[in-house]
Amino acid sequence: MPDLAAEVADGPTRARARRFSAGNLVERWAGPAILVALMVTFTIASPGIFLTSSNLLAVVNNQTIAAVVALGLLFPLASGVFDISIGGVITLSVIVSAWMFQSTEGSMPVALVILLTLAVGATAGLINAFLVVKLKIDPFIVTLGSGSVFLGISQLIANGQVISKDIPDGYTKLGRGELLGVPNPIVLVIVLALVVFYVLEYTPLGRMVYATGAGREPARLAGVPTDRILFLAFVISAVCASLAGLLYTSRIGTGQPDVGGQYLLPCYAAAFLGSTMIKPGRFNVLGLLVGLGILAIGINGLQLEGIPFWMISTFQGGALILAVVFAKVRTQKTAAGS
Amino acid sequence: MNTLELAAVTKSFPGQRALDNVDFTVAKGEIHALLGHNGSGKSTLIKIMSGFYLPDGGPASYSVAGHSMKFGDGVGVGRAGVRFIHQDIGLLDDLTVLENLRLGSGTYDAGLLGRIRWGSERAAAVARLNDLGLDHIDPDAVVGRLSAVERTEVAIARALDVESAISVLVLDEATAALPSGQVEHLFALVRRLVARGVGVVYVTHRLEEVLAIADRVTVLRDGEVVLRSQVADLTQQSLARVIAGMDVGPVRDDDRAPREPGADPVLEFRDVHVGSELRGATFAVHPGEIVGVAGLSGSGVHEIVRLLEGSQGLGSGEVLLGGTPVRKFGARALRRHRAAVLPGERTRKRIVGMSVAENLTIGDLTPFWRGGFFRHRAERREATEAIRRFSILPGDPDQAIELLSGGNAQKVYVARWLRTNPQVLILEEPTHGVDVGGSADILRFVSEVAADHGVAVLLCSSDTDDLEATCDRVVILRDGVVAEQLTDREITRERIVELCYA
Repeated sequence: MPDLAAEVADGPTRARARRFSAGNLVERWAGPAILVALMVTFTIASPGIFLTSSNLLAVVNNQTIAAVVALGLLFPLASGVFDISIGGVITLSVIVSAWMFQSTEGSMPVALVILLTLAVGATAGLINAFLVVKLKIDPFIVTLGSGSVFLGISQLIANGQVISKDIPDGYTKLGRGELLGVPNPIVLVIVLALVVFYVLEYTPLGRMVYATGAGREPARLAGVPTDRILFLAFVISAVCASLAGLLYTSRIGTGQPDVGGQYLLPCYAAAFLGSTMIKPGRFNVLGLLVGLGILAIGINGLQLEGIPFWMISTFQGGALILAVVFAKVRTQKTAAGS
Repeated sequence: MNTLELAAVTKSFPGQRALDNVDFTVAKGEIHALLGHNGSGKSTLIKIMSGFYLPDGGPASYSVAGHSMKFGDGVGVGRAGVRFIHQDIGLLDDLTVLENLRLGSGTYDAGLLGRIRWGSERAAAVARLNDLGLDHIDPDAVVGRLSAVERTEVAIARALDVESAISVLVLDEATAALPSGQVEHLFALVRRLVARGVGVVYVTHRLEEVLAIADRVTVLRDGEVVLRSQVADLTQQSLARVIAGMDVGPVRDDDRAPREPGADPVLEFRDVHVGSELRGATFAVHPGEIVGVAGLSGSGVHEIVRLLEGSQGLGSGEVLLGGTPVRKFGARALRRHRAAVLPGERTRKRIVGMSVAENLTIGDLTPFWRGGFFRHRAERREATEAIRRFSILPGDPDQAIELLSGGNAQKVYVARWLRTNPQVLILEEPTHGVDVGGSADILRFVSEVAADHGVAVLLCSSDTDDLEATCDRVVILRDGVVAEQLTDREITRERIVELCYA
């Protein structure tokens, strides 16, 4: 009741303002609600199979590579540019790291391989950023092209082979080991998610990333170093894709020159789904994780139900388009409110 | 014989009468100049002619070539043979002259399967260009590579490239972007059309062009016709005085104490060249001083702001802030010199999708960065305080910026920079698109920071009322150089306008 009184006293202005700032509870929490609903449905539909710790752990562990890529991808997306070269960067990192082990017969120090591979990723990001920022080429075109070039370089290095020799145990242990009963890849994702969350929500850098994405020219004229932000965004995205590639080789112990492409769609679907929830209208870490969860649980549950294989791509693609449609409807509603 | 007749046109906008019972006629084969300063109502009149605006109800009438026109019927006006060329001439720069000429005509000479017979189209285009005396233009040239004058010629040729007969050509500031001195080519084309009986409405700020080409002049001021005359009876000076309203203008009632010179200037332009418009501007602004910059479009006012905000490079010369030469421009670089630039256009200030608080604090986030965490609560507190101080409505820091009115949003952007405590503040059209109350508030804030904190303000504005009301000194730019400086009592709206046109 006191709330109602305050609202009446302040008149319609405040009521309208609050409606916007609360961002509509339903809108914010619809995504997490869908995730819970999916879990309940599959628990009932596949009793004793879906809701087991082994199944759920497997589902989560399976998403770790996509999660690492998607967390990095948040930076370019939040700053208003596309990076679709991530598939190529993942592949390049898988091949480069495996090749370094193979060509030194496994004698190269693991830490050095990791560092060099991440450096390769950073270089790829710098190339993207240079083309977009300095030569002012459309980021979609730049990363479409560069992703293909990174894939080509990977094929050149692999020379048509699957590289799997001489990958040392010390390296594969990283991807297959556990920390306090939690698989290492999950630990990595948790740490990375916390870091990205901190940077985007609790640093001026994060605010400037969002400002660049919301309006590059007005942000620049308000003193945001938009060129530097874009450089950073592309480098972070590529380094994370590179990290995902390392995770891949250490878990699978091999490197095929076509592994990266499969991650592009789920990462974009999760990021766009995530932008419709928790903080609607903004690419955010919590939304992204829930989005990944919806996609993974949905596919896992459907597989347990015996749904055919072609449903996976259909489901992911459909989710991406639906997410964008939701976002569109939302901005139109906001515009209509003015 | 009149080919276009508008009678008794009245048009009101909320809170203002843009046109008051205006008559306007164009005779066959006549060049009729339509003049007036910003806000005089001439654009409104043009837009009523083209059917974009409807006049208020009443006895208004409109006819072209003897046929009565329906107001708001743009298609009918076009069919009656009235053509408009605006300052933004609307050619596609990536296409060739030929493609541009035929674009939108809808009737190509087509062969089998709709294939356009470019051969015959080309021949027709060449014939038309020759017919208009434009044989120096290559039909296969890409429009983007042509000179500004040639582009305008192509735009006119395109406007005439239709089957129906042309009765009236309206050139709406079509020469504003052209370098003066090169318009003679264009005049030749216009005269050729006039010789064929076309009536021309010529809208411009350049009085020497009016005297050179027009037969008759109509001057609007505050929505009323204040002069209708043969050009032969006029001089550039008498025209400028009529446009400015010198004869009726009140003398400024000045209660401000003259500023004492003494302190060193904090902003100095020394022979600054930018692009082709600003050609050697020299002036200085002292602490606590509000200096206005006035000039017609193309005079270089625009380039001063583009230079400082980092959108256009420094050609030559020197800009000093606080006595130090500026090497790098742009909001971020200028912040180090404790200077801030607020651009004019809304889209260059408004960060859509961010809240009022976020739009306000983005100019400087460092106060909220404490102990490794961004302090959202401190940000909110400061935003709430600024909202109160600048009376921004609605007063919710979480409100989306796009839901604010123009005036309230503008206060947010002014606050964005004032909270960074600049020593130099550069404002471009700060009251453009802002309601009367908001304008007064914004100008008051600016005057206060100048008086109380010794901020040096450079006010680049086409609103002569604002300049008169707030400035200690007004710099008049003409052809890219400082032509005149007015101080204190000399600053009147009329004098500024007169000097801009002189």
